[in-house]
Amino acid sequence: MNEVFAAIESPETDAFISSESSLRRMFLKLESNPSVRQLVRALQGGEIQPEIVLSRMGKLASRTIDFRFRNPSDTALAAYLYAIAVATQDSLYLACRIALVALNTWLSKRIVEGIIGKWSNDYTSSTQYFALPPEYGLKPGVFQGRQFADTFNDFIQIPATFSEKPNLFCSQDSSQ
Amino acid sequence: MPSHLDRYVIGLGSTQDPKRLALQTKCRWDIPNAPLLARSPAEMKTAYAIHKKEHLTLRLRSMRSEYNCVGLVFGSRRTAVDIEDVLKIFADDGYRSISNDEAQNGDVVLYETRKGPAHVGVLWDRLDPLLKIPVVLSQWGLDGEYFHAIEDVNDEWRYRISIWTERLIHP
Repeated sequence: MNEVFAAIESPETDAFISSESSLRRMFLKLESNPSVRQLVRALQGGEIQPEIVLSRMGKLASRTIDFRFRNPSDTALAAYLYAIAVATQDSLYLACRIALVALNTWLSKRIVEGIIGKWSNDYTSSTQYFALPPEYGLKPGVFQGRQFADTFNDFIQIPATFSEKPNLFCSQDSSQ
Repeated sequence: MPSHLDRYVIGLGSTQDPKRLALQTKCRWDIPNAPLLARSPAEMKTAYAIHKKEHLTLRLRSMRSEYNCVGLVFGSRRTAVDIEDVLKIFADDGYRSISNDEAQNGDVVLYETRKGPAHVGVLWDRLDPLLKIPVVLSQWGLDGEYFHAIEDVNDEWRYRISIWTERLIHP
């Protein structure tokens, strides 16, 4: 599996996913990436334990970064998070926590948002625009009893008013 | 990808987003947008080297990464806008699709996959004197801004390539 991990963390994977121009496009690229698919299969088949992936995530998330720039491990963290969300949700809570520890990330935070959005209906943020597909929906009880939303808010400090959907039609803007 | 995922915003980008820049179409539609975190110079150099290996006509213009392709064309390189919004922007701003013969430098090139818009760029040279083919200037996601032959892009993006213009010419 080391080759798979190396491929997921490689600059090539980062470059190919980052060349896309929306969260949706990046997500599609992530979904179709051969190494990510291989990792999902290995997790589903029990060839690899989620703890190994969590450990890789932990190493990436705790790396020292240059705060002026996006976290260079963002894409890899997003890929691991996605693989765990799809393959085995037993470790999903921990995976989200680890992903949120990494600073200056973007893609992995959006995926955490998607996961939390699915879980918490009263969570008001741009989560409303991004949810993991239903087939990846959370198993009941994955986050039961967890104080996850508070932790999440602590990390990214979303204002309480962050619930407005973007206007879709010109006519709606006349009121602004 | 399920249909309920057809509406994404670059990160956040709504009118309540403090990072959002005031950006509207001619119809005063607030375009969801947000400038992105810059990537490190080392990452940008690596990304360029990786893409250059696969796309021989690629020529670097800039290694900035705070904007994406739509941000280059419609946001003056200040911010990132979801590619899914480009058709709405075209409609609001009076763009129309034209044939290759009608194309002029400065028109907008739209790349689509089977699932919809994937990339936009500016037609830089209708007929490059060296390459003898049209050359486009575009920002490749967060990987940098490049000149490239019109068809020298990611395979997926080449499903449909169309040229759009807002030009108005009075007879």
